[in-house]
Amino acid sequence: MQTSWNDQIRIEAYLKGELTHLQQAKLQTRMACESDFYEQVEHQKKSLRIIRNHGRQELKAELEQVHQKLFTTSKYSRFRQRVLRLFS
Amino acid sequence: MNNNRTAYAPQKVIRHELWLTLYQELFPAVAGFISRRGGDMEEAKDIFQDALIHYFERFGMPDMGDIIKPQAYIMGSVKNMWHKKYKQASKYSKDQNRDSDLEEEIYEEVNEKRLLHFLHKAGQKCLALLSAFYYHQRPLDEIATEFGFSGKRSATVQKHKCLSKVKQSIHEKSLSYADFME
Repeated sequence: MQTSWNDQIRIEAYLKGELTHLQQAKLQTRMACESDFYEQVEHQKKSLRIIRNHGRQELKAELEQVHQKLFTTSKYSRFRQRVLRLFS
Repeated sequence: MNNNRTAYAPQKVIRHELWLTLYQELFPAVAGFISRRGGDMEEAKDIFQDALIHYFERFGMPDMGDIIKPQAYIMGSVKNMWHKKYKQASKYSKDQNRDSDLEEEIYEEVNEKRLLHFLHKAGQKCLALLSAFYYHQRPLDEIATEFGFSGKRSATVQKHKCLSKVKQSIHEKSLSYADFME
């Protein structure tokens, strides 16, 4: 199941809220009439969600690396002690 | 597509330095807030990191020289997240009808986690490109340089191909899940 690039670009603009009211209405009509196209829109929405989650996972891993660095390396021992004291 | 992922490294290096600065400037205050309310280090870490990600998604990377703006926003986020966490915990224990909605949310979350895991293996390079454009909001000419494309047009074409690939994977996986569930 392939989408044309023009459809992909149009769906992207729709999901970003960049279409005019008329363009939006046309697209929504097409979604209502063509189940394949409706599915394409849903798949693209899901793709963006997955990409966002992937980006978040990457950031989370970066932050975890920084956290470990601050709480295990001797260079940051004063910072570490300052924070650990709060929970003792 | 450039196979060398270190092409993307410069942004990660910049972010690493920024996270280090923000952590040292802001985490003690967050830890103090959480510990005074009976939370532990793990909770403080999770909430702080979520607040940083929330800030990043809303405003992009903060300026190294100006910590005041992110400081106020991040502390505000931490407080909101903390209060929401404990409000939701008591709401879930009281509301029985919430269970079926929650099951559906969890199913959808597990479904998408499986897809992401599959895409990590099958489409690592595509995910990196799509993440750079859609999540990190990098301009296409910068992406072209970092990923080794000939120019902006080439990056655009590759972006669309990658998105099609992800959508196709979702379509194929949704068919196999549907077969499994019948």
